[in-house]
Amino acid sequence: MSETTAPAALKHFTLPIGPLHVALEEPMYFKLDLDGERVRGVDITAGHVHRGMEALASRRNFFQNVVLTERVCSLCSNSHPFTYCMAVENLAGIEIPLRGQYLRVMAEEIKRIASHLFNVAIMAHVIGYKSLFMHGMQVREIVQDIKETIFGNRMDLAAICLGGVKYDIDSNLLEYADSNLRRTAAHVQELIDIYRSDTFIGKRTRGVGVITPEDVFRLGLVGPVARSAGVPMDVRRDAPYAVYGNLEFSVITERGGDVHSRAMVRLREVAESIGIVLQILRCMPEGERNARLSAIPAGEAVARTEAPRGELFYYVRADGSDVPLRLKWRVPSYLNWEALAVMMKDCAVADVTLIVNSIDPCISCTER
Amino acid sequence: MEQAERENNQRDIVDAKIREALSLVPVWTENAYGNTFGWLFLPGPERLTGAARALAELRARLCTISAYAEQRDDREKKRGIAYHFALGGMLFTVSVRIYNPQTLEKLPVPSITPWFRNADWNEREFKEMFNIDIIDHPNTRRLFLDERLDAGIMTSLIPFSTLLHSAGSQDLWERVMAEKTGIAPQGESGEKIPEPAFTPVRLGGTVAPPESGAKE
Amino acid sequence: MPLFLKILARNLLQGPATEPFPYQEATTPQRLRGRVELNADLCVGCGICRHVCPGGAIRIEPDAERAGYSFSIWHNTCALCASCRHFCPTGAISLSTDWHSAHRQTEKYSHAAHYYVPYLRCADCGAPLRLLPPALAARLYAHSPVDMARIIKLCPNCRQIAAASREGERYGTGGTGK
Repeated sequence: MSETTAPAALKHFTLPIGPLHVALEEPMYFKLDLDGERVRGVDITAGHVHRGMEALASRRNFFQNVVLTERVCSLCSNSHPFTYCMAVENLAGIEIPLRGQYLRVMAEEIKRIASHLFNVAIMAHVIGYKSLFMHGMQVREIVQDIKETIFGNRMDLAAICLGGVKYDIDSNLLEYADSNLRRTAAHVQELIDIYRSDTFIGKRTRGVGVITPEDVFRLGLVGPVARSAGVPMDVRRDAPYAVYGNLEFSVITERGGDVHSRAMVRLREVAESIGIVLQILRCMPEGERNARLSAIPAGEAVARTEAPRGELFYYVRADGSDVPLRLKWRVPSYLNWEALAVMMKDCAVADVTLIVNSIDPCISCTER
Repeated sequence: MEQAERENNQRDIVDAKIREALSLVPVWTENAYGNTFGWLFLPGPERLTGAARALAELRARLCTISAYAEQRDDREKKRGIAYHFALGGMLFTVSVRIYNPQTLEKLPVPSITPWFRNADWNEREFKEMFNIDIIDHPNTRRLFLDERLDAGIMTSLIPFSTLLHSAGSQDLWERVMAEKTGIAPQGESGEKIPEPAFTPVRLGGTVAPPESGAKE
Repeated sequence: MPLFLKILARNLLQGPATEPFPYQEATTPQRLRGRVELNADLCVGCGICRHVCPGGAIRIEPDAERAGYSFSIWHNTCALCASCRHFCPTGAISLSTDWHSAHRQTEKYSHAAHYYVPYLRCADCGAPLRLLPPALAARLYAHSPVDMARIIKLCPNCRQIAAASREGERYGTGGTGK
């Protein structure tokens, strides 16, 4: 609206993306300041799916909240009740029998496999590699079938409860899981090779949305986003919970800190997680799955786990009744949003959705 | 084990640092998996910046910040804030009382963003959800709630929770049970059955009083 | 690209990966968590299912004559979390593999299951009671010399009195119940 000439006016403009967009599964609103094709500034507006779930949690009893937290988000729907239950168990001093711990970790890792495969498939979708997207989703479909067969649902496993787990596996299911996970592992190895060597993927994702280890510390980034920049941060290793201390796995890191590195971290973690589940299937002891429950005393406790997107944190405060006084959680995406401003600085407009997808954001988790 | 030893060392370092910087003694607990947790209570917000500086010097990472009410259904008065930090494998929680215990007067809280950049979102969130005042925050724009809503509105929005909670409410169950015995108000289509009453929220901060919907 | 061409060719040869639903039944695993069902014979009315249900989908209500209670499950607010099944002490609750839950708007309140569970009468005082399922009672009284068949037909009150007089006989204290 000013006195500038037409070409100059076209050079600088503001571009809104979202809240609904083809490459965003959930609503988020970005306002981009553009200089031609380059992004100079990013403004994020959140709150479209704020549901007041923390307020709701303080009106339901400890049992009901297991399922409420499972419904925060579908992709990490096992991590939420897992961490919530750990916080409550830390408060009440409840010890989970060994088999229950193994079963919890098994559910968690199967969810991680499906979640990561979903994200890297979507990445192929965003860069227009539709056939690879379809193939990635089909590989994930094997894991979806595993979930439906063992747990009874494709997304919400209903595996975790206070004091242990709600499910068990017998020798038939053990064999079924073993053979299908090996099948998945072969596909995943193929995917790793493709994502690593494909020139089309490389040209589109290498050097895009770069963060440095310094950014990771400064912004408090977590999960695959931190590990893609070479920071070996993983709650499963840093503060082992459940039976992670007994299991062999590597903390995967990459050096690039770009979109490509984040996809590679996820794909390689899928292979690690398959390894973890196969170990569990081999060495899980027989025995009790559930601890005897006791009253939840007044007090406060915290717990954290490594969810597919990074560190998931729960805080519970109780007053001795069977309804928590306060239940608060902080999801990994809550921290990783801040990285977007750094990643998008001076990137091309066409890369914006690709960069957003690369932090694997979960908005319904972030806003609760 | 190596892990336990490392955590013991770290615990001693943090313990010494907190004693030196604040002349306060943290409490240490452990869970069933051998994870270590530190707890520090600050009776007022004035020593918060000192604690933040000490933890920043220890290269702590801010996990999150939880504002809470000390008692159930205490809408405005006895508030506290728990700041959760990670130091390697340990979690360290600093709880701050943010009211005057004599007068119950609300006290403002200093921002810890100078030491922890990622406190930004957390502080904006408790400002708008709990109506807690922050001193020197770099970006006071709303995070989730619309600018036209009052700060702290979530605490008074019980009717909205009731709406969500209404899945299991008395009101809905009466209709389910009525269908069973056939005394339900049956029209030709289900649209004629009135929906359960809930309280509408009006932008601008006025909330209508709860009506018959809020039974449970 | 050449790597992926190989996969592409393989996938083409394999044909469609999707199931031809609705022309053919969809694969349904045995453990699929579908509609919740009650085995009224096993229900003892303890109410733990109602307590743990996150959606408030279970309602237990004694009838006016105290001859039994109704047990209702409203499928529309059930989250299929299987908490009721997990915590049920007698195994009375199960989840079927029926995932066909679509129904008309007009049927939203009738999309529910209603059961009636009759009370039995205490063999001594006639108070209403539900019988412990024999399998569970056998487990509870496995190491007890007590006559299980009789004791499970007593209400908690009469069971206490019976226990007190039994102990009294044993120790000759007159049976004060301590």
